[in-house]
Amino acid sequence: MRRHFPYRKFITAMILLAASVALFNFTGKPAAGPSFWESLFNRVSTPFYRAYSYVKLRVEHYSAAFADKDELIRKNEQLQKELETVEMLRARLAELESENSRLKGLLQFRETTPGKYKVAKVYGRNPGKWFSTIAISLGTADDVKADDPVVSRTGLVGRVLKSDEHTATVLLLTDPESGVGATVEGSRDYGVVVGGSGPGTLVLRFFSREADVNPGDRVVTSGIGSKFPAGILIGEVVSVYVPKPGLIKEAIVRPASDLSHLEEVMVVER
Amino acid sequence: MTRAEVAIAAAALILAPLFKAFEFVLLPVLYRPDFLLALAVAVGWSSDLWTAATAGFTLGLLEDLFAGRALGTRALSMALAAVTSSFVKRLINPDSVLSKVIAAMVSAALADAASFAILRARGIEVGLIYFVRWIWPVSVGWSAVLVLPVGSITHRLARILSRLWPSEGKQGREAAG
Repeated sequence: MRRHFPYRKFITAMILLAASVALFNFTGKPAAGPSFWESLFNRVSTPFYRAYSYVKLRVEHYSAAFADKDELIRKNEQLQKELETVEMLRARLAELESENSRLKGLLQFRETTPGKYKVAKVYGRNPGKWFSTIAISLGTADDVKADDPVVSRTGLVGRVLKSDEHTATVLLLTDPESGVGATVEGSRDYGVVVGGSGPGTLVLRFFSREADVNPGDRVVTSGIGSKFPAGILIGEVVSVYVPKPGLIKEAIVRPASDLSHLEEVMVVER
Repeated sequence: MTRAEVAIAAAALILAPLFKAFEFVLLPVLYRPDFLLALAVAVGWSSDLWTAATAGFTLGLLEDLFAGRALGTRALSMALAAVTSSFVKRLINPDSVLSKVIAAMVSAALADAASFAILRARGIEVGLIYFVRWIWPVSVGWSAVLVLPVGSITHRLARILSRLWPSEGKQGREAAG
C-alpha cells in the first residue's frame, strides 16, 4: 500500500485542505466580492479553462468543418469570388481617384493659362534609350498637327513631332533634338533650353554673357519663334556654370513636368 | 549562310517588333533594357560574320523605324554589335555561358559607343556625362542579363520555324525524284 501511494500524507493533506476551503466558501457569509480562496481558485483555474475552451472550440470547429465540408467549400468559393470583385473595385476606385486628381490639375492649368487645349492619353513611351518621345491618343482627326505645343498640368512637355489620324508622337523637352526658346522669369534673360543631358535634366544656354540667373529661378517659354506661346513654365534652375573659360554661362534646369510618368497631357491649339 | 542561320535571323526579325512593343507600352523609361541590342548579340553569337552583320543591320533599321528617326542611326551600331559578338565567339570558348555574357557586354559597349559617335556626328548632342553615367552602364548591364534568355527564345522560335519548310535532304530527294 505504501508502495502504491508514496505521497499518502501529502495527498491526504491536500484533500483536507481542499475540503476545508470548499466548506469555508460554501458555508461562509456572502460577501460583496469573491473570497480570497475564490480569487485564488479563479486565478489558478483560468489558464486551464482557457486551454479547455480553446481545445473544445477547435474540436467543434473541425467537426463542423468535416460535417459540412461541401457547404463550406461552396461558401468559400463564393466569398473568394466576392473578395476578388471587391479587390477589383478597390483597384478601379484608386485608379479613378488618381485620374480624377490629375484631370483636376489639368483643369486648373487650363483656367490659369489661357488658350485652347485638347486632353490626350499617353499610351507609349520612347522606343529607344537615345531619344525621348511619347505617343498620345490624338491625331490629325482631332486637328493635332506637327509642332503643336504639348503641356502637362505642371508645365511644358514638348511638341508634336508627327501625327497620324488618331495618334501623335510628342518630342519631349529632354530629347537631344529638342530646343525651346526660353527666358528667366525675373531677369528676362533669353536663351534656349535643350535636352540630351539625361531623363530629368535640361540645359539652358543663354544668348547674353551677362545673364543674371540663380538657382531656384523659374524658366518659362519666351514666345520667340512660332512654336511655343510665351509664359509656359519649363522648369526651375538647379545650378549655373560656365562650360569652359570665356564661354557664355549655362544653367541646369529641372523640368516642371515629370516627364517619366506622364499619363495625360494637353495639346495646345496654335 | 546555313539553314540554321537563316532560321535564327528570321526568328529575330519576328521577335524584334514584339520586344519593341513590350518595351514601348509596359516598361518605364529609366533603366529600360534594350531587347533589340540583346537580340542582335544573340543572333551574332549563332551566326557567321556576314549573317551577323546583315541581321544586326536589319534590326537596327527596325529600331530606327520604331523610333521614328532618321533610318540608319542605329543600324550601323547594331550591325557592329552582332559582328562583335560573332567575332568574340571565335576568340573564346563558345560553349561557356560566361563567354556569351562577356561577348554581350563587349558588343553592347562598342555598339553604344558607335551610336553616341554617330549621333554626335549628325549634330544630335547627347550629353557625354549622361551617356557615360546612364546609357552605357545600363545598356551593358542589361545586355549581360538578357543575352541568355533572349538567345534561348530566339533559338526556340528558330527551331519551330525550321520545321515549317522542308529540309535540304528532302528538297534534294524531291529534286532528284
